Amino acid sequence: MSFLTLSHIHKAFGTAVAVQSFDLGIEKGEFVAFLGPSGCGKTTVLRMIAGFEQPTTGTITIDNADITRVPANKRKIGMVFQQYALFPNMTVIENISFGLKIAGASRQEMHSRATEMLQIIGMLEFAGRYPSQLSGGQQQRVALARALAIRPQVLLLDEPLSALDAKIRTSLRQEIRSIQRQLGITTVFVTHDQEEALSIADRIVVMNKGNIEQVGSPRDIYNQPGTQFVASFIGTLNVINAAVSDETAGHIALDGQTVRTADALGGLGQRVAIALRPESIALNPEPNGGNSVTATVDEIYFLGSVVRIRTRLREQYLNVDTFNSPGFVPPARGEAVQLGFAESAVKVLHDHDTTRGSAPS
Amino acid sequence: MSRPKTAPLAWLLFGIAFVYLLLPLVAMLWASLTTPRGVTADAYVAVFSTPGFAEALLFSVRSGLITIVITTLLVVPTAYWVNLRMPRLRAVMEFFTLVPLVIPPILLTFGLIRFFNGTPLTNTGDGLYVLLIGGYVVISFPFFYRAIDAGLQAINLRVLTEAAQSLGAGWTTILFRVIFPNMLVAILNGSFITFAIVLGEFTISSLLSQPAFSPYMLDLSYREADQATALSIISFGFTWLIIVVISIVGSRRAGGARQIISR
Ligand SMILES: Nc1ncnc2c1ncn2[C@@H]1O[C@H](COP(=O)(O)OP(=O)(O)OP(=O)(O)O)[C@@H](O)[C@H]1O
Ligand SMILES: [Mg+2]
Repeated sequence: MSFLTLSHIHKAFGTAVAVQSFDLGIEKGEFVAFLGPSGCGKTTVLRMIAGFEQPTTGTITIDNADITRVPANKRKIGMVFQQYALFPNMTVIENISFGLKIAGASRQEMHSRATEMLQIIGMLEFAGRYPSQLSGGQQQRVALARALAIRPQVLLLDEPLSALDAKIRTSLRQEIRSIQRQLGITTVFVTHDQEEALSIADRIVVMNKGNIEQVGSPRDIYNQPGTQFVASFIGTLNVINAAVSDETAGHIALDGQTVRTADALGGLGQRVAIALRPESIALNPEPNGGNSVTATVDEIYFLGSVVRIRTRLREQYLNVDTFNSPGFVPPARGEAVQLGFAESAVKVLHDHDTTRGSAPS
Repeated sequence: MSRPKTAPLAWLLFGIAFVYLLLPLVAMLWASLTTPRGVTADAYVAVFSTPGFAEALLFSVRSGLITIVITTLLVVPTAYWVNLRMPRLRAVMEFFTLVPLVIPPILLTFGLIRFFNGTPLTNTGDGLYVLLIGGYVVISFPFFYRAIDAGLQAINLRVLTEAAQSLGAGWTTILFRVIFPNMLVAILNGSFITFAIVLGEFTISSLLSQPAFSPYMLDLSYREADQATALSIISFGFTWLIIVVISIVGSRRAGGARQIISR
């Protein structure tokens, strides 16, 4: 059995269902990210693990002990909040020592552990400051240290970086990850930023409307999105509608142009949604026996090292990413281009609604 | 922080209010200093040697402090719980805070006496003192509650509570280590008002025949008008002095909280 398990968790607020049939096992020392749009229930699951909410039905265990009914202050679970939550009346070191004091640690123990934590977050010289004298990033680091000081069984982070600016966000998430590795602490990190989840998690749980859509490694989630929701949520993927023309041979039509897919088409009906990564499409390739379609260049976006070309089939759009190498001359708008991609790049998604191909984000 | 330029009109209104408040004080000061023998501070000297002066003052100061302690212990946890768990009850609480303001103290006192008639609360001296403090708590409750409520609105109650809980804190720890210290400024604000109310309160203490400061002052004014006026001035100054002392002590303890404000 996993270290932290959530079994058949269901949570309703009145009649509104926030989380349903949630099943998840997290291994000791694992770093798991909950990823999903606003309101999908990420925080609610986290708060149930922390003990701030009670599941309507279902059980939560840590290390084989059922903690579903254990009050929050008896769970030994560290939490870092989205809002700044340091105690304003206490200095940095007093904040970090707070949990140790409650646990009845001796003065000496308290001091040495707090100092150790300050060292880990690299803020030794800030020990005597009040939270109001710290930057947002520093406050979140102290909040992390405070949560870790009690040596919790599980560390929960609810969008701890969302109030910070982009640069700090990137560096701090790397710092969080390396501290997590160093201490080997089981961690759940909530975010609605796919890049954040992809870059630091061992495993990602993609959530939508209170359900788990997919659980997998960042590679899996990115390369093998299981559902249309996952594919479209992982922003840069092309998600387009296709008509099945030959189920057994794997032939499908994208706006009238037939391509082949390596995925099974059996039992999916006439219309399917497929996902195509922009970087798996080659612009005007040498003919190599793979799929090839004709499209018109609609728009060109320079994204730094990458140039994203939005092309149009008939009604649907396909984004194509190419490296911005020095010799690269982008096609002109309105120009007709050939797009080549492998059979294996055409991913068939397992639910189908009719979302349009996503525009560049 | 740069202060916006204050409009002349604001200064004018401020000036009018200031004069309006100050004039009676100046008049009293004048009356207490002039005697048929010329301008002297005799009344001020005499007041301190009047029998009963120190006792009455001490009695009221002590009662004020007791009232503050009781009100704090009653109001802070209540307001905390209402804000945290029953935010919808805030409207109801606000209504409750109006009740002591619309019920005249004289009614309140008679009500208390009638209600507890024949019990030790009205039969014994200690009982009457308990009734007096009870009355003080009731009349200072609206002001105190509003000060605390405003203070609680200003901090992120839920997150601080949950942060403390996740670190192992139970309710008492949360109240005394997290909420009270962060409410210090609000508690002080409530305390100032409470203290001023208790020191100037006349109706309840007089009806319960308690040796408080205001009844003493009235009594004195029958015998020595000049001294009574001098005493009013002194008590005014004294109230301010106490308030300043409380605020200095408080602001030193509330170092963290003050830094937030000054930022
Ligand atoms: N205390 C509550 N009472 C009623 N409904 C709630 C409560 N807390 C959450 N909800 C509802 O449950 C759903 C899930 O909310 P939750 O906060 O878990 O979303 P989230 O995924 O964390 O979103 P975000 O990314 O915006 O933080 C939402 O529809 C929300 O309105
Ligand atoms: Mg949330």
